[in-house]
Amino acid sequence: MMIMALLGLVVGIPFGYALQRGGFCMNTAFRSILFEKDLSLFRGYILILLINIVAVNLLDEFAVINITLAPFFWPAVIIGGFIFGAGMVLAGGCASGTWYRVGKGMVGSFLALLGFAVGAAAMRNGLLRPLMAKLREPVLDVYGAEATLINIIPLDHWAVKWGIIALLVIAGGRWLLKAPKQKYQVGWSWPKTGLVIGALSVAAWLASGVTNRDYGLSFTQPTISIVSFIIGGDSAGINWGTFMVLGVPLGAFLAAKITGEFSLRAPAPGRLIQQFGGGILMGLGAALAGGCNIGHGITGVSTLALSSIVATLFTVLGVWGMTYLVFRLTARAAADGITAVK
Amino acid sequence: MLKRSLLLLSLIFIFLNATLFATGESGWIYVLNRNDNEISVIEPGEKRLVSRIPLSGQGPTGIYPAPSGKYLFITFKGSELISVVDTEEQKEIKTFTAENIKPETITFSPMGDWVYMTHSTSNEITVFRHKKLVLEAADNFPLGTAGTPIVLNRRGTRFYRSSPDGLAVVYAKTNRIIKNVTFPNGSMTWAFSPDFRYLWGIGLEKEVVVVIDEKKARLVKTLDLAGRPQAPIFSADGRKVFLIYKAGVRVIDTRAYKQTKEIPFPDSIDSLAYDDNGLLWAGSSAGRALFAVDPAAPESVVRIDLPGEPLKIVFVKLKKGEGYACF
Repeated sequence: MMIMALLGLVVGIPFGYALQRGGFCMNTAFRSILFEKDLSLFRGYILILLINIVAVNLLDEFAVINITLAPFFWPAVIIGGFIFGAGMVLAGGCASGTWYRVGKGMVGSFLALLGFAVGAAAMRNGLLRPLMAKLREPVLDVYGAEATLINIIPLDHWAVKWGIIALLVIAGGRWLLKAPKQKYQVGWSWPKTGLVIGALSVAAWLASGVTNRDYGLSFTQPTISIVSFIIGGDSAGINWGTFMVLGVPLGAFLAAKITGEFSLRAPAPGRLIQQFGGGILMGLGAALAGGCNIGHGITGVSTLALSSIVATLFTVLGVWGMTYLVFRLTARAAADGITAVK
Repeated sequence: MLKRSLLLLSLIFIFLNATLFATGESGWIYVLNRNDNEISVIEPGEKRLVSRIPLSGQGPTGIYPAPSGKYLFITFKGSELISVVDTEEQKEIKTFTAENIKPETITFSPMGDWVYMTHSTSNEITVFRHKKLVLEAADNFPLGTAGTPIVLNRRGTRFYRSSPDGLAVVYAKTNRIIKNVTFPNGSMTWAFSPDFRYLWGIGLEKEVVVVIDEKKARLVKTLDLAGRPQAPIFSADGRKVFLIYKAGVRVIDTRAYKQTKEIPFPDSIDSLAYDDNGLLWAGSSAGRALFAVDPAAPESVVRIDLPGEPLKIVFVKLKKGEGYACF
């Protein structure tokens, strides 16, 4: 247990530090593509993915790690991904963004985190479990193997795998190299953020593998496990991921303290309730889809699992849909002469 | 207003979560006895016999826990009878006949909704839909080598059986062979490593152990081990595999593929199990005894005398609230 805790914190604390210094939140990254035309954070995300796709598949090829894929239960993945994305907008952050902002002293994020835990636990272990089971019944696979970008092509496995990876790296790398220089930035630049988080995501596979947990970074199941332990005393779910997640607010706290950005801040009560509600939606969606913006969005997409790619695409659609809705409602309220929620 | 909101939110949080979580239990060792038609139940913590479960059938041959840990299915020699034991009630609750099948082995899918029975009289496999202890035959087909069990992958989407020239990989939706990993060592009995990446096969005709990387469908290692090794049993972390041989148990390092230790026992060993606490349980039919040993400290062996000759040992733990992937 001590080694597990240590290895979890060794990755979790620097990860929280990097998230805070890089201001890395996938809610902001996805929203900014469409509404602010700012691709900085999204470029950081792509860099993280490229690093992971190469490193994780190489480690698996040499059996240093054992990639475990989420099954592609497509109705749950599509609906869950969309709900998760919509929830992120209301909660004001993604799963990792919410966890690190707690370490920064943001009370609203703490409530969003509580909502996330409630929603995820209710879907995974509670009242909504039968619904989840139903939506997870139809599973797409490729002759019994999990559906991945590689497995769906009926050609020589090794050549297809590295061919696809080479194509992704060349296309993604060229796009990143053509990126304009950031005009202004607070904290780390996107290349630095991408490199550090990318390296930590790979380290997560290795550290997690030492404890026989065949997966990289993830937030949904560890959050559920923490709640199960606190409320039900159930320690069965405590693993490397739990300690990694607990390390994130610690690392963010350190970063915020060092840069003088730490302060306890609470928004208006109405906004608090909105964040809590958003957190519940995030939890419901993530547990239904089988992962969040990290478990699917970074770790899963790096394995080229179709479930994770589709979940992430629908998360993006959820973010865009809810952002559009919130803007429309705010604009209508303003037009009606009602004071909009600030 | 803020205080009220926080109070309300806290109450919702507690309400939604207070009753949601089931906890696991510590588990039991079940020993199927050869001749007295009963199961001995051992409490692994105290290492003592706590109860005996009589069975209706004669000459039990195999004991197969359902994935939930709630039920044990027991097969009998040359018989169509299957007995079901409830592990919570610790008693036989049902018997039924698998019509026209004399089952050799039973394998459950990971969620317990499919049951695969191999026949003792042919190389046929019958697949059943399983719900609440009702089995409904869904398919029957010949496949692989008679007398060898099948193993399923982590999600039950593929199964594997020894074939005359290697290992047949079968797609569970169609029950058709999709690959055959060939090697020249004859029939094997197979077990998956705990991470489901490697299949370890023990030769039934030759004194050989083979290791297959399931992901790459490729033979990665062949180990020549004299002394007719049987029953590959893995440690929970998958780093060790325990193999019975006539003088005791060999401990193989699964990374180096090297024997690191031999654990001798006072009597010859013919069945083996590994529990969640890291204890190895070895049954001796000659000594009518069960031995518990910590593989890290093999010098202290605890002996438990049994009422019958142990044939098979299983460690079973009730699992609640599992079965759905989430990251």
